[in-house]
Amino acid sequence: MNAKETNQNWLDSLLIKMGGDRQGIKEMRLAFTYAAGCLLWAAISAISDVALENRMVTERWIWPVVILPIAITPVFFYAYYRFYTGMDELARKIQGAAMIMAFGATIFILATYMSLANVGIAEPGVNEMLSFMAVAYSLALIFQTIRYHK
Amino acid sequence: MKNILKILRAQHDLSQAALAEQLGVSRQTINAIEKGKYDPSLPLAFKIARLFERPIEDVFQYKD
Repeated sequence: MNAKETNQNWLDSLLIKMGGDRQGIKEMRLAFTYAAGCLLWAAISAISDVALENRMVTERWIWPVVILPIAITPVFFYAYYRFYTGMDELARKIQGAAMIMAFGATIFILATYMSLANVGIAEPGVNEMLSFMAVAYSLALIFQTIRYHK
Repeated sequence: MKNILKILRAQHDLSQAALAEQLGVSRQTINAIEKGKYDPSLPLAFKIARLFERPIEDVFQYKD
């Protein structure tokens, strides 16, 4: 038995104790991997930002530090791809609906801000929009999950 | 769509979890189908009908 199998068995037994079914356990495992991918990406992005803003890197290392968060993005997307394709059809529908709702809400807010910017109110930055989209996505996910599972 | 999944499941003495296991979906999906909140995809509908050895139109009825 290799290290990966041992890890999965440990996680599986924990999830079974929590009352999970096989598909649920599979989704939970993929969700953990995805969450780990998100955290890794967020941590590296934050470290990169801090290092560049505080001029903690020598000139030689500026570009590698700038590129590192971009270079790790495929890992993040791959983790999400595996998570999405590993779900059953209802979970996939919930994810899809939540993404559409979050995207729509973000476009609405962005359009509103852009219109307000014409009368002197500052436009939102990319970070604000991404944060808004993440919150909207989380709320939409909760709403959709309750809708189908209550 | 209306369905008789809950009746069929009771007839075969299957729990939602056991049925979900056999179909390769989550228990929540079975629950949502039974409550009529979610219409399954055609492949899943066929799988359900085949599992209970019933024609698909017996298990799922389209309501206007």
